Amino acid sequence: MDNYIEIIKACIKGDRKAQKQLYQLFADKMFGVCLRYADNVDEAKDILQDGFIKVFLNLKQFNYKGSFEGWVRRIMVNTALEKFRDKSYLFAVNMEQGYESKDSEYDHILSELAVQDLLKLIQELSPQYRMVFNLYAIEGYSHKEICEMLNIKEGTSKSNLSRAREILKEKVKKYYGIKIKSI
Amino acid sequence: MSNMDQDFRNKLKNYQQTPPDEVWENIEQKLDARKTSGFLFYKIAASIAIISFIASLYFYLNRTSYQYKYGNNQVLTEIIKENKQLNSNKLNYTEVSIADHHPTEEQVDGSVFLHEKEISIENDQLYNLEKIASLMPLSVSIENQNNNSAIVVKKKPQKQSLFAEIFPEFYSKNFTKNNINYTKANKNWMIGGAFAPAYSYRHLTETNAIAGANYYNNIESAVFTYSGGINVQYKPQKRLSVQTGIYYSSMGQDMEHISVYANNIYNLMDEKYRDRYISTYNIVNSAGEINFNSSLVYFDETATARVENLSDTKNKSSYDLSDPVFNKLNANIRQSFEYIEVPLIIRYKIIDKIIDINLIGGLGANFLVGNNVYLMYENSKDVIGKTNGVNDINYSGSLGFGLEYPILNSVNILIEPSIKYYLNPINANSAVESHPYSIGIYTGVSYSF
Repeated sequence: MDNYIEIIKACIKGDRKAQKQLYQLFADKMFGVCLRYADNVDEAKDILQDGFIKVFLNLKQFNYKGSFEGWVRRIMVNTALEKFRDKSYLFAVNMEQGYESKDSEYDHILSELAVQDLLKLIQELSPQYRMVFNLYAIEGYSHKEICEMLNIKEGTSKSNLSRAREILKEKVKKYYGIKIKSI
Repeated sequence: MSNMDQDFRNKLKNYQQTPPDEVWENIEQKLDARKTSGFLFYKIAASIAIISFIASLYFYLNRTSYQYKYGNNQVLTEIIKENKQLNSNKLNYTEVSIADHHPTEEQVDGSVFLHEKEISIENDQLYNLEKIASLMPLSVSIENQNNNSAIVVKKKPQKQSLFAEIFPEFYSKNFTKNNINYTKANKNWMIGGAFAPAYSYRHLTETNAIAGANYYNNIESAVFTYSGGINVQYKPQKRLSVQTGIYYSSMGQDMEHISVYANNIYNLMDEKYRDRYISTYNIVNSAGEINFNSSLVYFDETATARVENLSDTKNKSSYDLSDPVFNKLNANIRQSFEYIEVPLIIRYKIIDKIIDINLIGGLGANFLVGNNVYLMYENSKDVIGKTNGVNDINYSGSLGFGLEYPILNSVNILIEPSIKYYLNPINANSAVESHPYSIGIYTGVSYSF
C-alpha cells in the first residue's frame, strides 16, 4: 500500500509517467476482471479503458484507507455494470425457476478445464446471468448486494444464478464432456 | 457456494491477461483531451470579455473623434450650395456655420441658411457630410430655394413612440410641446426592472465518476423556476450601453427514480419510541451530497446506490418495502439553489427603429443565498436538507437578445430571451462537474432620465 501512495499522489498532479506506472501495475489484473464481464475482448478493452480513466479522474476521492487494488477493481466492475445498464437488454431475460443440480460429474470436468475455456463459457452467458454469476460466484458478493447493484429483486438474483450454473453445466457437457472423458 | 462456483472462482478470480498496448494509448489520448476541454468554458468567457472590451473601445474612440471635429452636437454645421451646377462633379458649397444655434429651439420643419464662407467639396465628400449630419438630429436634402439649389439641413421627424402612433391626437396635444427630444442619446441613464420565468437545469461535463454524466442525465430533470431584479443602465454611446443591477434567481433540478415510502409503524408508535424509526440518509447526485434525517424510507430505484442509510441501529436497506406498513408516496425530490446575482452586461443595439433590437452579453457574480432540498408530495413541500459543498460564489456568463419599444416618451418595455451558464462547477467536491444554466424570457420596463 505504502508504495502506491507516492504514485497516486503523482497521478493526482497529472504526472503522465506515474499514470502509466499505475496503469502497468494493475492493467493485467484488471483486464482479467474486465474479460469476465464482457462479451468479448473488444468490449473488455473498452471497459478497461473507461475504467482506468475513471480511476485517474477520481483518484482524489480515494481515501487511502481500504485496499487500493480493491478500489480499482470496484471501479472496473461498476464500469462494466454501467456499460450493460446503458444497453437495455440487461434486464430483458426470462425469469425461469432455477434448480440446484446435484450432478457432480461436470464439476469434475470443470476442474480439468483451462482458464481460457472457463472464460469463454462465462462470456457466452447472456449479460444478466454473466453479471450475477461473476458477482456472486467469483467476486463473492451476497445476493442482497447484487440486487442493489443491478436493481433487481433478490429472488431474481438467486434464480439468475442457478440458471447461469445450469447453462454453464450444459455447455461444459456439450463442448468438453466427451473430450475430457476420452482422455 | 457450489463446487462449480469454487472451480470458476479458483481459476478466474485472480486471472490476469496483458491488455493490448492500444488501451493505454487510448487512455492517454482521452486524458489529454480532457486537460484542454476543461478550459474551454473559460476560453469562451474570456473571448466574450475581450470582444466586448474591443467593441466598446472602438465605439468609444469613434465617438470622441466626432466630438473633437464637430464639437458639441448642439452646434450645427449646415451646407448650402451656392452654384446651381448640381450635375458637375465639382460642386461649390458655402459652408454655413450656425454656431450656438440650439436645435431644440428650432421650428420643427424650418430650415436655416446662413452664408459664411465658400469652400469646394468633392462629390464623394458629400456622403461624409451627410453622414455627419445624420449623427445629429437633422437630415440633409437638396431643395430649390429662391431659384438656388440648396443643400438643406432639416430636422429629422421626431421618433414617434408606439403610444403616439396609436393615439396621435392625444399624444400631440399632451406630450409634444413639453417633451421635445431630438435624440435619445441625451438621456444617458436608465433604470428598470425585469422578471423572467425560466427553465433551469445543469450541464455535466465529461464523465468522471463511477456513475457518470449519462447516468445522471437519465435520472435527473430540469425544473421551471424564475428570476427577477432591478437594474441600472448607462449609455455612453448611441448604440452601446452598460448595465448592472441586482437579480434574484432560483436554479435547481429534480431527482427521479428515488421512491419514498411512509412508514406506518412510525405513526403508530408512541412518541417516545419514534426516534428509533428515524434514519439518517446520504443521497449522492450530480450536484453533491445530501445528508438528512427522516422517518420516511428512501429507496433508489436504479442500480447504482445513490441512497445510503447511515443509521447503525436500523435494519438499513433491508426494509421489506412490500410490507403493507410501508406506504409509497407520490413524491418528488427537488434541489434548489437560490442566488443573488450582480451582473455586468453590455448591450449593443443592432436595430434602432421603433422597436429596438439589442444583442446582450455579460458576466455575473452569483452569491448563494438559498440551498435547500425539498421533498414534494401531495400538496406539501418540506425542506429535508441541503446539498453539501456547494460554492458560495459562482460566476456566470450570459447571452441573449432584447426587444425594446417605447410606450411613453421615457418609458420602454423590454422582452429579452437569454441564457445564463455557470462558468465554474457548482460544487468543487462533487464527483461530476455540474454547471447550472437557465433559459429565461425576461420582461420588464425601463425609465430613461
